[in-house]
Amino acid sequence: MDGSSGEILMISKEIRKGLRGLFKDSSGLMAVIGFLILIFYVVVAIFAPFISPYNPTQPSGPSLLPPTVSHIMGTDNLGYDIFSRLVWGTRMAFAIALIATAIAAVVGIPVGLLVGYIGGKTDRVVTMIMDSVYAFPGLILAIAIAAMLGPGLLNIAFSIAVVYIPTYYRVIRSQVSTVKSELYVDGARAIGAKTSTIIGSYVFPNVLPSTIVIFSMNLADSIMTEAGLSFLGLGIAPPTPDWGYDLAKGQQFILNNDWWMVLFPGLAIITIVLGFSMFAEGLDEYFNPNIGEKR
Amino acid sequence: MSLLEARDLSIEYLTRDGNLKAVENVSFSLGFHETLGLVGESGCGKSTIGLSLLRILPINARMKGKILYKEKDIAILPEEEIRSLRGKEISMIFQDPMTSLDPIMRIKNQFFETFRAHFQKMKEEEMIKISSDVLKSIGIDPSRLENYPFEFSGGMRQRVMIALAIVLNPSLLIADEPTTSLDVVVQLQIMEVLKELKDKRNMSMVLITHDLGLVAEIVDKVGIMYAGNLVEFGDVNSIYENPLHPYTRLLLISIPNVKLEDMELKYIKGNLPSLKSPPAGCKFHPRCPFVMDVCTKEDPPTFEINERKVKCWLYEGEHDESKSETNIG
Amino acid sequence: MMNQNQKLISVRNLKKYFPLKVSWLKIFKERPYVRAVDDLSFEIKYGETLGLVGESGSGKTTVGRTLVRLENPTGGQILFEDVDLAKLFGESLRTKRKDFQMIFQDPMASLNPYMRIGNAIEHPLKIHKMGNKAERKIRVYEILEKVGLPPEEFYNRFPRHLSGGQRQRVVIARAMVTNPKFVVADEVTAMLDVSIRSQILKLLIDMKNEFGLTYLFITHDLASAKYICDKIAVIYLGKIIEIAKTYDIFKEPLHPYTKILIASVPVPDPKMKKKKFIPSGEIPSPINIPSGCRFHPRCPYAMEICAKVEPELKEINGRTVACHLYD
Ligand SMILES: Nc1ncnc2c1ncn2[C@@H]1O[C@H](COP(=O)(O)OP(=O)(O)OP(=O)(O)O)[C@@H](O)[C@H]1O
Ligand SMILES: Nc1ncnc2c1ncn2[C@@H]1O[C@H](COP(=O)(O)OP(=O)(O)OP(=O)(O)O)[C@@H](O)[C@H]1O
Ligand code: SF4
Ligand code: SF4
Ligand SMILES: [Mg+2]
Ligand SMILES: [Mg+2]
Repeated sequence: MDGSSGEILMISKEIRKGLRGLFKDSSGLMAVIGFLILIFYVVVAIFAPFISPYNPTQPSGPSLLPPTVSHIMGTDNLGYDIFSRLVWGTRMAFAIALIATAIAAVVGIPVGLLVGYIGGKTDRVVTMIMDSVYAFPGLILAIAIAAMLGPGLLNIAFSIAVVYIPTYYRVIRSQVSTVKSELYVDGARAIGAKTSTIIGSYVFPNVLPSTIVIFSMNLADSIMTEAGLSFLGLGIAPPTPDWGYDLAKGQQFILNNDWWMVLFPGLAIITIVLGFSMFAEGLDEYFNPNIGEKR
Repeated sequence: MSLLEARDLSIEYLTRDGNLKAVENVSFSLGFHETLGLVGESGCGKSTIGLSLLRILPINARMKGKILYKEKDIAILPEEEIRSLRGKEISMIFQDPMTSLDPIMRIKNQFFETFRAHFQKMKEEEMIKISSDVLKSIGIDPSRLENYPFEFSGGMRQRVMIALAIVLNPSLLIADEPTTSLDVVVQLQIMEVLKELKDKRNMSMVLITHDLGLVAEIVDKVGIMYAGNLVEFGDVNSIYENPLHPYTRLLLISIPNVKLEDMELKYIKGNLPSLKSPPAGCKFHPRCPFVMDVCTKEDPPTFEINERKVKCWLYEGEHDESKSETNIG
Repeated sequence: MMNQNQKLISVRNLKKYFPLKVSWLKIFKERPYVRAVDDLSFEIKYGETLGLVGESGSGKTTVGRTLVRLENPTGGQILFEDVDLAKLFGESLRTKRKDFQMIFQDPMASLNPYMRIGNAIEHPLKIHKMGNKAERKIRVYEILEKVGLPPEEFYNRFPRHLSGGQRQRVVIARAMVTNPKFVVADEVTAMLDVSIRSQILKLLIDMKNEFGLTYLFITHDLASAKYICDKIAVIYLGKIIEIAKTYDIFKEPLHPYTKILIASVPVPDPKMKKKKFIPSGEIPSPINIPSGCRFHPRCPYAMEICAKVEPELKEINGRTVACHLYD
């Protein structure tokens, strides 16, 4: 089980690589498709109460019912309507992903900016710490922290955030150290700008595009991680609707041929991750106008 | 018969936001043992022409017209044949000497690769002998064959590039800005090397540059390019003595010189046009001091005057019999 | 101007060494340095333009950057009026910066791509708290007009929509907006198109005349220095080897290296097929500076003494040169 969920993170990387190959010449299209998928899920999340036909936390029919007209995705072992659970689960997925990624960004970006600009010893120490966190397998780290903090939305989000702080830090820091040596930063120093002004008006705007890209990539990854945590029973306490938890539960019944319990949560996770990934990749190409221009 | 002739050569690049006409209806010819200077400012299409002569344009380029090399049309030659021409008959020195040498290969092996591309069975001693001779002829000690590119300075690297380009004794050498990234003094040294090559090896050359001053001493013919057009073409002496096109005239007088009696700074007003949305009519008209009504509306054709060509309305109606002494300066 | 004949800047024994990274195994040996600027002295009077000319790697940019204190000098003094800039740090240096400015070689890289032209030019005024919002805007409009960019058209544009020449104009405007006394112009025309270069030179000359500026004009191209400089200093491997009035330098260059630099300016004349005075080799590395006269390995006139004794920069018959030929 550990193997399969550990690979989830790997898969999201592979997805991005594959996407890049698939949409070589039309990154715009890729971003648009990604965006449409995301919009779809956002609408689902907002209108969950109107879309879901049943209460997701109460039995609404016989258990283990295959897809029928009244339960289009079937029911689980407790008789919960899977479709309704997935619809409500969208909210959970978004909430955790957004909160976790936001925490990571709020910590990682300023630290990366400051440390990257100052450089020197501070840089070496902070980078070493960040690198060791980064080197740790993401899911295992999240598991450790989640196990320590216990269940609850904020705790889960926080455990995921810790995993992604170094991604921001590393990208921002390395960008800052290149931007720092650009002539326009020297120019700003030459006109007498303060360090804070230089970072704020000259450095940050130039690294902003990449933070937006990392943000959407990390959203994809953190949905995966959250699913992984729930899969291991470290996520949101049942019976709160959650895709990862549903997938984990479905897996126990796969030998009974109750395929619908795995297929639909799985599809939900894959499509939303795909949506974020396509959006992020598309943006990346967009912000890197050099790709595809001159030879 | 001329060695090389371009007839109505047009090259477009397809890009995300529209097509870009990098070269438009360019025609010129180059005789055996002649040197042509292709001169123009950045983005006017010089490199694009250079690449087209070897048919190595980027994939988003679309080419029209003819390029005749020894009467064969390079544009439609089968891939096999063109490959056998590259490096052996026509070779090229690229704009950036830092990136065009393989950094992890000894100079020696780069020479071997060049030989083997055309003569699979050549013996090593022979290859070394020829390479050594060529290196010596351009002022590099043959013992440096064992070195890697990073062990050379910029100027020496450019010499190696030249040596690699001429080692198979091509009939035509295309040199794309061979000195642009180099220092003033080194630039002079490299030009000296090229001049010697030209005299000793009887090679034909196309020298691409933005520096009208630099090529004066070495070329026989000059083509002046502006925004994808060849605006003037002719023999070097007549172009420098009596430039016809307004752009050529202004360019010549705006080159800073070291003469003490000449202290006034002259320049061309305005900016280079965009190739994606060039001005209507003559592309030089927004900057031209002689602009006429017709210039803003219609693109001038190329007029021929005493074996010179000029693309400017001022010369409408002037033909071979009339002397080209019109005073427009 | 009242200060006409007084010094604005006087640089004394300026040194800038960059330490090289060495492996810790060699820690006991003497630490190698790049001696980019090696004991250099010169003066610039009010309203004067001094040209600093030399090959790539000779230390020109480093001199300029050290003068405006983008680098900390390793040694020496930079007297700006009565203040030694070499001893200024932190806040006092920052506030002093409105009096001296630097224009960089690469106009594509010296503007923040995310800042509109108008804001970029206004920024120095804001930083030094000069004027209120309305006054600043008027000043920016004024200066845009001066550098030949119609303000209505350019105020709100981003740098990427400008050509190289236009960007260099913006950079010049930004450097001049605080009314500095002294401007370092580092190869400002080198990366521009041929037909644009003289335009920018002309603009610099006009700005100088209008604001009574003092320039250090850095270039490798002696020909363009001719039009703008009152005096020219030739630098070789971090040291000045000749300094003279522009007229004198072109009329009769003394130092062999100066002669070479003048000869290396291409002449647009196909009939000038004369054999030129070309040195062998390239500029050596500033890590291992040759003994004696640092030019001796390339000098066609080198004598025995040249490899042993370093010639001093001294005055001979009203000219200043560092070469044993004139002992
Ligand atoms: N692969 C490409 N795709 C699209 N546009 C291109 C491509 N290669 C060149 N161009 C454009 O075509 C025009 C001509 O380019 P080219 O490289 O021939 O100019 P050049 O005269 O050699 O300029 P330079 O002096 O800068 O080398 C330029 O505007 C350039 O931006
Ligand atoms: N930050 C630095 N660290 C180490 N070495 C440096 C640094 N800056 C410059 N140098 C070295 O100092 C020497 C002088 O460099 P500088 O840039 O001042 O030369 P330059 O005359 O301006 O040359 P160019 O014409 O190429 O701009 C060079 O050898 C360069 O490699
Ligand atoms: S055609 Fe007209 S605008 Fe163009 S160069 Fe000739 S005179 Fe000038
Ligand atoms: S001192 Fe000697 S080596 Fe140096 S420039 Fe003079 S003659 Fe040449
Ligand atoms: Mg080119
Ligand atoms: Mg420099």
